[in-house]
Amino acid sequence: MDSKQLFFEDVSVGDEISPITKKATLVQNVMYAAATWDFHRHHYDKEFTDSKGYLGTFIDGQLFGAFLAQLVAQWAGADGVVKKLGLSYRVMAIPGDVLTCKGRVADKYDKDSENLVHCDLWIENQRGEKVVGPAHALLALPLRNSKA
Amino acid sequence: MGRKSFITLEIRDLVGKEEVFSSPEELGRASIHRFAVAVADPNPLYYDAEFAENTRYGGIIAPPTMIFEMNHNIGDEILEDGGYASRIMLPSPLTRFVRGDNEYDIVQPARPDDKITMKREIVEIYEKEGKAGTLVFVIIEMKFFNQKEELLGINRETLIFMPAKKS
Repeated sequence: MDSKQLFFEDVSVGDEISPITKKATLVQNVMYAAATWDFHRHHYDKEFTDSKGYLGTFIDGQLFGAFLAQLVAQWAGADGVVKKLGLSYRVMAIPGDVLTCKGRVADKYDKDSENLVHCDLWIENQRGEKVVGPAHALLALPLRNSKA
Repeated sequence: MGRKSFITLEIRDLVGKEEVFSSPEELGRASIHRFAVAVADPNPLYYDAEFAENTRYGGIIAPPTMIFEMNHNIGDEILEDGGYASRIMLPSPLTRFVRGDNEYDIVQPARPDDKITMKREIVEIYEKEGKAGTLVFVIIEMKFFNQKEELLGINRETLIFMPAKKS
C-alpha cells in the first residue's frame, strides 16, 4: 500500500476527499458477523428478513464506520490520526448495492498543539441515495515543516 | 386529549445504570487481521508486523473502529434471532428498532495484547413524533478500556425504537 502523506499546510476548506467504492455482498455480511461476533440473522438469513418485511439481508450499519475510517485514513496518509468519527444512518443497504464513500474538508484549525481537520462525509448507493449521512471525522495531520 | 407517553417508569428506570462486559482474553493478531479482511481494508498496519514496526505506532494496531463494532462479550447468551440476550431492549410494544447514529471518540489505538472491558450505560431516553408514529430514542454510552485501565475509546450510540408493526 502506497499512501502519500498529507500535511496540514496542504489542506484547504472545501477540498474533496478521494472517494472509495465498496460492493456490499452477502459473503461480506457473514465475514463481518464472524469478525464482530455479532450473529443477528437479519444480516444473512433471507427467510428471516422476508418474514420481518425487510428489503433484504441488510448490511450492519457499523460496517460503514469501518468504511469511512478507511476513506479518511487513506486520504490522510500514515501519519494522519483519526480522532473522532460520527455517522448517522439513512437508507438500508443490501447485498448487490455499490456504496461510494465521499467527503469534503469543512474546517481546519490548531488546538492544544494539534493540527486538526474536520471533514464532512457521506455514503451513497448506486441510485444516489444517502446510505450514511450526515457523517463527519476529525483528524490530526502532521506539519510539513515540523520542528519536531 | 394528549396521547399517553411510551416512556413508562420501567423504561425510565433503565437510564443511568452501568453494565460491564469483559472479554475473557486479549484481542490477538488473528481477530485484528480477520476484521481488516471483513471490512476490505488492505492496510498492512493491521497484519504485517514488520511494516507496522516502522510506523508511528511501533507495531500492529486494530483498525480504529474495530473495538466499537465488535462484541467482546463472548460466552453471553445468544437468542434465537442471533442477537444477544444482553443487548439493549425495550419492553413491548417497542420491539422494533433501527440504528440511528454512532459517535466514536478514538482515544488510543487498540493492540493485539489488549484485553477489552466495555462499560455501558443508557444516558438518555426521549420520544418524538415521527411521520409514521412515535419514535423512542435511546442514547447509549460505551467506554472501552484495556487491562491496564487505559481508555481506548468511547462509542455514543443512538438506537431508535418503535411500536411493533400491526400485522
